[in-house]
Amino acid sequence: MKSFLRIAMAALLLLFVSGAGRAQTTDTHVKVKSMYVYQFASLVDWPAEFKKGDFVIGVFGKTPLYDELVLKYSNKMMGSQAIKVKNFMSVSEITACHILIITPDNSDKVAELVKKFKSKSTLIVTEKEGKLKEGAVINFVIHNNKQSFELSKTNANKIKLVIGTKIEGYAARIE
Amino acid sequence: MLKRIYISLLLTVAATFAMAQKNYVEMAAQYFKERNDVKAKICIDSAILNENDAKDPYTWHLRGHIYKECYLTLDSSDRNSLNRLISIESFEKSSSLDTKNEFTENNLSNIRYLLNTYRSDAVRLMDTVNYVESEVFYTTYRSLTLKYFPTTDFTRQDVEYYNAYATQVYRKYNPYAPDPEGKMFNEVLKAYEKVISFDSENCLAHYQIAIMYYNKGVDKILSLDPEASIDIMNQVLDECVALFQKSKPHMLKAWELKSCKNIDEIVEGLKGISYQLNEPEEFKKWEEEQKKLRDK
Repeated sequence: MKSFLRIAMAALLLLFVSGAGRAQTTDTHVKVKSMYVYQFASLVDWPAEFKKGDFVIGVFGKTPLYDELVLKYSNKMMGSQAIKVKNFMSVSEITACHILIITPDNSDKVAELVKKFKSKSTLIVTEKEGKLKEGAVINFVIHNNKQSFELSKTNANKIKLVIGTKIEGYAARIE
Repeated sequence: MLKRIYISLLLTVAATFAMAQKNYVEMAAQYFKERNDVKAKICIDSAILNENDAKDPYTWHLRGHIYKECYLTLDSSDRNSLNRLISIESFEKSSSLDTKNEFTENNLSNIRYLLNTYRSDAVRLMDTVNYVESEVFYTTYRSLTLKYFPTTDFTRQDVEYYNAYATQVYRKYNPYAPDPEGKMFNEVLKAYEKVISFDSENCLAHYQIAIMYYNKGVDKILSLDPEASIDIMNQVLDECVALFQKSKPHMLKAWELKSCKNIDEIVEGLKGISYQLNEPEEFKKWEEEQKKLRDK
């Protein structure tokens, strides 16, 4: 009787046991990268001639980052400038931008684009190791399991960009 | 009915040997026989004030039965009835005085019965509203059982109980409800950690802890204000890395144990963790594992 009671109790308790949550498979990387891009836009100082008209963020290549930037920041104001996000699929399509993000697939075009937009103070952001050496100002990297970025102040100076100290403070590496 | 006959017989035998000053005991026995539990209770409580009666194991044995009946019938097994505890204490007192071993076996059997009613109450209260009260009854059941039956092995019962308990806390938890101090989140974690403290190889508990940390990290990133300052953003990202790192060993443990039914969800979780921790090699490994599972 006693063991029956115990089994009955255990069975009853088992009814209360159920699982289980599920892991949300969500792409958080694009959100983090888009926020960084917004921070770069806010904390970098462009020469006076680029502080009028729209604030253009260009994305070269196919990436969900473009959609995220459009969704979160398109038409928001950056100071007195409205943010416009543009997507380009070829080098020839690319027009002047304040920030140009180059996807890893197109990273072989970095040097060419640096040269093309040298006089436009375009802050080139890449996602591939070694691209600072080719003239990119910011390169996304992973540092201590966290999405971070490395920064070339030399390249920024060359195109008359003033990098805010806040950005420097969070860079994984500064050249 | 048989129980009543046994008790009546016992009382008759005992009454034969009763001394004159044991009137209250006799009266209590008589009232009890007549099912007048209220008067039986008054008499037996008077009896224990008498020095001689208080030394007699029969007095306490009878008191145990009277209070037990009061708990079962007068109080309709009310879970807050004090009569239950007094009954247990009386049976215990009887056994401690019972040098001739006349009542001990019956006392212990009654104590065990009453202790199990605490467990029944704990099970009955097991839902998303009453789980806190349920635990009070379970811990009472546990501590009293160990007091009277010190060699009881609670391992299996503890695991069964706290698995059910943790499930209720988890069901109540709403990750989207405001919980600025993380009170509910911590309560769920604590519940599953308790399961692990009793059964370190409990796959479900490890999986649930991993999922709690993982989803909290993902939610934190997703709920970040897109225009938050770089300071806040980095603070949140650091917190999230810490959450994913806490999640990982539990998810790996669940994977190693291989005793969960949701092995595909565990692999999905491990894939997610390596993705969030920016570990591409690990991510690839779990992606391949997932493919193998799908191909099976």
